Amino acid sequence: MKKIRIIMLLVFCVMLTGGALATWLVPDREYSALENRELTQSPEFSGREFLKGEYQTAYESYLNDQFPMRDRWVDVAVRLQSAAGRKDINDVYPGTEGYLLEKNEEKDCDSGQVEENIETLSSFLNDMTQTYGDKHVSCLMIPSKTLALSNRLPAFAKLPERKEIINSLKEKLSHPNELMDLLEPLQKHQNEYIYYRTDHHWTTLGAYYAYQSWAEKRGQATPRPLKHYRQETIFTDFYGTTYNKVHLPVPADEVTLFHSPAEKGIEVSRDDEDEEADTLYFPKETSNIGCNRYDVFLSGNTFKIEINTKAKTGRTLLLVKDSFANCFVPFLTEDYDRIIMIDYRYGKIPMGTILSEYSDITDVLVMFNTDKFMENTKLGKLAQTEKKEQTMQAFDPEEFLG
Amino acid sequence: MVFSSTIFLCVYLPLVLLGYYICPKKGKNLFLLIVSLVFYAWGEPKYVFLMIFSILINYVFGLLMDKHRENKKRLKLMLVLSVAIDLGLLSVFKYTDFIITNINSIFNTGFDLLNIALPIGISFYTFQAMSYTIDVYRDNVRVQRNLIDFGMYITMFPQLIAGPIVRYADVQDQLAERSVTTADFSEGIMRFVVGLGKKVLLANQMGAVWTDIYALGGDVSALMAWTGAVAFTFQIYFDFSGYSDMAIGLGAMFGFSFPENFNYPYESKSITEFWRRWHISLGTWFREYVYIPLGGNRKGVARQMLNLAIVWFLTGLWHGAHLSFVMWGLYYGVLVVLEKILWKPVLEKLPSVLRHIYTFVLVMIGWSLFFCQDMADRSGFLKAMFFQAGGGLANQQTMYLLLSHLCLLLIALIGSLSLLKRFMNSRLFPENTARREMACMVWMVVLFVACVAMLVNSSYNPFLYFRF
Repeated sequence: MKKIRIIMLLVFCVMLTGGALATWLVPDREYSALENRELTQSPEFSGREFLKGEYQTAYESYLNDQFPMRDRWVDVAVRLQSAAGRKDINDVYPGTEGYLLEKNEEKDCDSGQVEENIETLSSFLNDMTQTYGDKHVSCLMIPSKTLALSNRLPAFAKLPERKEIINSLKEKLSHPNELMDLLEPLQKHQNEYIYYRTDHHWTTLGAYYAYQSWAEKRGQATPRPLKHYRQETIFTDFYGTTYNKVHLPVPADEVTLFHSPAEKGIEVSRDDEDEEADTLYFPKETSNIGCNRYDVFLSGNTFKIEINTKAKTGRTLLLVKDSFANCFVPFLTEDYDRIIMIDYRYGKIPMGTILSEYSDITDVLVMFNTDKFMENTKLGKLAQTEKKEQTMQAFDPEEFLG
Repeated sequence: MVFSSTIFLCVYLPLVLLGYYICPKKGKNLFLLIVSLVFYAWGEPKYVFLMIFSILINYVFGLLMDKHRENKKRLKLMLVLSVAIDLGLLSVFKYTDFIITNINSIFNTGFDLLNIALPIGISFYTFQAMSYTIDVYRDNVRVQRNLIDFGMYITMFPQLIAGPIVRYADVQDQLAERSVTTADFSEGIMRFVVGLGKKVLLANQMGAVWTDIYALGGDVSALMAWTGAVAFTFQIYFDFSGYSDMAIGLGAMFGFSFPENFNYPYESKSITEFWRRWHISLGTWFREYVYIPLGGNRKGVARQMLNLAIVWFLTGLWHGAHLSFVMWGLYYGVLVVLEKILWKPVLEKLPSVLRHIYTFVLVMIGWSLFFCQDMADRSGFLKAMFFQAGGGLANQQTMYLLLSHLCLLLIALIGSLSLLKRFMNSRLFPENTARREMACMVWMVVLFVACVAMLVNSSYNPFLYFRF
């Protein structure tokens, strides 16, 4: 029995030493593909930083980030919580059929920012309506996955409530019909694969149903049927943002491209690339391990993407967006000669400047996911719609200082 | 530094254990002193000097008192000075803003708050230092001439940050002479890992439940309010007793035997009993150094009431520089007095079950004073508990939360009772058998692994009793 005590002693010491050695010897990683973020590196020691306590915080954060086999440990923790009956882990509900549903709490929102964004957006839409007419301006609000797929939530879970945003916006619009809440149209297809299981985005099928509702409602063009598009499943190993929060063993997602006949002859230019591309899709660049597969659409986000098609309709669309629009674009390529996509999370040019640069705009479409819309802190420039030429290198202190 | 962190488990503890056992016997105390200072400095890089100053002051006054033992007047003066300095430092760093706030409300003045940062552990180490000087005055302990040994007593990292408050008299012999057997060490390991488990696996989870419920505001259903109360009742127990377990366990690894600080307090059958089982070292300290010197119960009932009022006022005040803590202390003071004078005969006749419930409910209500510092919050919460808020018995949210955490709440309940321990001790794993030792080892490894996983998964878990 004394032997066993000695063994326990040894086991404990081995665990401690093992931990110590492993932490020391295992080389530092720079980036975690699974968590989709950079990992803290070893901080420099300085007496001053130590006195402020900042060195300590940085060091502990470094230790935690570089913990050997960190991902496996997180897995264990998730399984433990799951076993203890916890219905949501790391703010994610494990929904039915492998759907991971994010738990976005009302309290996580900065209501001041939300109000500001509502003001900005409604002001922008009203300005656009004045310039282009209400029949040519629309705004699509895309519900969060958890709200759209609320039928998949665990019992008694609280439904996220976002309706007030829609109502607040409608109140401020000169033509409230421009605003479309996509919740109902999408909920009709709740049991289909309209959102990714492991990512917060909608699938291309979900985007298609949105397009269908939009076209029907706005009467712009008869919506093309599903079979008009050639579907190609390009990835079957997509693990998205929700999965990064909690690595529950759910089946991987499939990314499907909907090819439209108008894809030939398309030109895509991004403001961060010199060369134009001749396709909407970038499978080669996004097929490596650790890449975000959703970036296959247009190669990810940037401030401005200009798409020129051979549609010959004489119409040009200004599309103000977040990442949800990236897989929606194929459904627009046959209706517009040119599509100008603007994402204010990546740039600061006032809208007015863009409007003067593209004087042939005929239609305006805004597409936002409600959660991202509420969190967005950079929408300000959207409302600055006074047309002004972008003078050569005019020094704008605000742009400089952000 | 916090025990429940990767830096402690993977860097500090292995290095310190290694260093301690490599160190020659004569150097062990110095080694512990140095590493403890590093431990403290890691969390309080600037205030470590304050603690060093406090050590020097108390050391010097100890020597002075011993020197002037013959001169009663001078002896008393030395004591008064040292206690004044100790309490003075504590007051400045902990109670300044509290004093200013009270002055402002009483005299209608508008003094600005100074926002002095509270050095971690100051309430604990100050009381430990005073236990030394007061006992030197009383000639209860031998004066400590070795500054290193004295410094080590004050700074020893196991109990530095959150107790137990180890009286000098209890460990003075262990400072110079101590040894560690494998039995001691392995029990220390067990104790430490169990404490770690209490903190990481139970206290933190209960804290998360309480945070969720608290965020819902005042109009919660009654069941929700009670669940919240149960959550923080368990949180504070597992947090604090877990820390004490870790302290005792770590102490054992270095050959120290620290007194127990918790004895399954939620099993108590009366409030009086509760306070003999909760934060035992604090109760002992106040009894030794405040209640008894004031006369205790030996000067008549009226004086006893006053003494009790003072002790409970101070107990509350020790916990925090806020009116709600003082109220919490007085709440218990009143209950203890009532139990002594009025309810004793009634209580003794009640069946055990009712006595348990009576105590547990009163304790939960007491904690609400602790956790809802805002008056409005507190009354709202208490109202909800007694069906006075609009929430009704239960609603969808309540069911969701309850179902999510039922398993955990049950585990917490079992963990807070000595049932499990008695079961383990009885027939399945009799003491001193190989089977028991194996079971302990397996359990230790399982707990340790689970704790590491939870720690890696979350990065932020400060101890509740940290602001002391």
